[in-house]
Amino acid sequence: MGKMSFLMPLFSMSDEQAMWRVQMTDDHAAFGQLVQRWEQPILRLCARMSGSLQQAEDLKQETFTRIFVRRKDFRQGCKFSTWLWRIALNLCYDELRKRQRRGESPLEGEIEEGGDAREHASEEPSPDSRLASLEECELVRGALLRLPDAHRAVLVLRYCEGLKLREIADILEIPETTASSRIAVGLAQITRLLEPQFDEIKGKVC
Amino acid sequence: MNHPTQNEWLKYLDGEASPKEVKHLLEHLEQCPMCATELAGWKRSVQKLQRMPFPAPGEVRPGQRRDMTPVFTLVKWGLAAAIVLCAGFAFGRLSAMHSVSLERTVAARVQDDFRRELRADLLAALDPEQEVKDEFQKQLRFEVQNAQTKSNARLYRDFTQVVLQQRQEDQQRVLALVTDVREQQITDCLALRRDLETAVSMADSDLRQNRRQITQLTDTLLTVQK
Repeated sequence: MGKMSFLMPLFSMSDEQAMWRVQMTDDHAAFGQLVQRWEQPILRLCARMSGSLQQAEDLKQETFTRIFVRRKDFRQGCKFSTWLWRIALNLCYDELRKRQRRGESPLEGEIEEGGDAREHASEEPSPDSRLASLEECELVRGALLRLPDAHRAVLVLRYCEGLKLREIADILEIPETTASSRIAVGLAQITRLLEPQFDEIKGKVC
Repeated sequence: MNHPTQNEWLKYLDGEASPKEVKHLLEHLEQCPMCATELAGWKRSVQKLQRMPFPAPGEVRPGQRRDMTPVFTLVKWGLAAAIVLCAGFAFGRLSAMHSVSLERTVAARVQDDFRRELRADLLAALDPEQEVKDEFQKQLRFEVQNAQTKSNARLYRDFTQVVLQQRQEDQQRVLALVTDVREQQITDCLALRRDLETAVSMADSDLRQNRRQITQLTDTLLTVQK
């Protein structure tokens, strides 16, 4: 074990250590480790931002390609994940803006290949709770997509990915108070979308 | 009524409000049904967001077919290459350790021969009688001669300096002697003058005395004649 111990770092490096190796020696193994670690969260972000899993795959691919291509741009001493989230988010924004320019309507709850959600559900014994959660999931997805891009982003980062306010502020390069306001506004908006009775409450400034 | 700001509600929702802030907010909630409703709605939204599954039911990852994207293929081969390299390196290191002692023995023997040869080369280079064998010796000889020439030049310079200095010192000595002699001459002259003056004054006083004597004699003579 003693002689092979130099292999250990390969399997338990921090993000920043891995990125260092990628930067200095184009270490594909280290890069692969980063991809393995982060592809799911990035895919989730892209899927929730774009509303399409297909699109999310492309965006995720593009994100990691860009990370590798721009590896020299990463400043050691900074947090890798912040940089990664930022790149992914910017790619999502670009895609959404492109869609807007093309005049396409924002995708809402797009379901691919698997067919209608209810068909799937009916193939198995479906207790009410499962159907309910299915419905809820669709509702939330749809509501998210109806939010402005910036508010969707902060809600996804904060409540779906569980990032702290500080990190969100770093990713977006805005002050914490701005990030906090954006989240608050986003929450207020999505609450109204998810619970239409809220419209009755005059949009008061708390 | 003063309502807390959205940011303050958010802080409370995220569990990051201080106990003092929490107290203030709870007090407000008791008095303000509107804020209470709003906050409750927010809480529900947060929970819904947090429990959203991924992928959503009905979302099928089209990527099942194309799970080997160029990036991952690259990574797979890169990883395989890295493992092979690491294995090769490990084996290399293992075998290297056995040959260390062998190296040391060989090195020791080689060192002695090497030293002997080098010494011979150096001596041959420096001996002006012997022919230079190769570039190294030629260079060495040139360097040494150069150094010698330089050192000769330095010696000559030093010698010249010494000679000049000596000459200077001699000159000074001569000058000193001459000065002494002159001073002596002056002293002698002064002494001579003094002597002369003394003699003159003595002669003078003698003369006066003689004149007196002569006068006396003359007077005496004249008196006798009468």
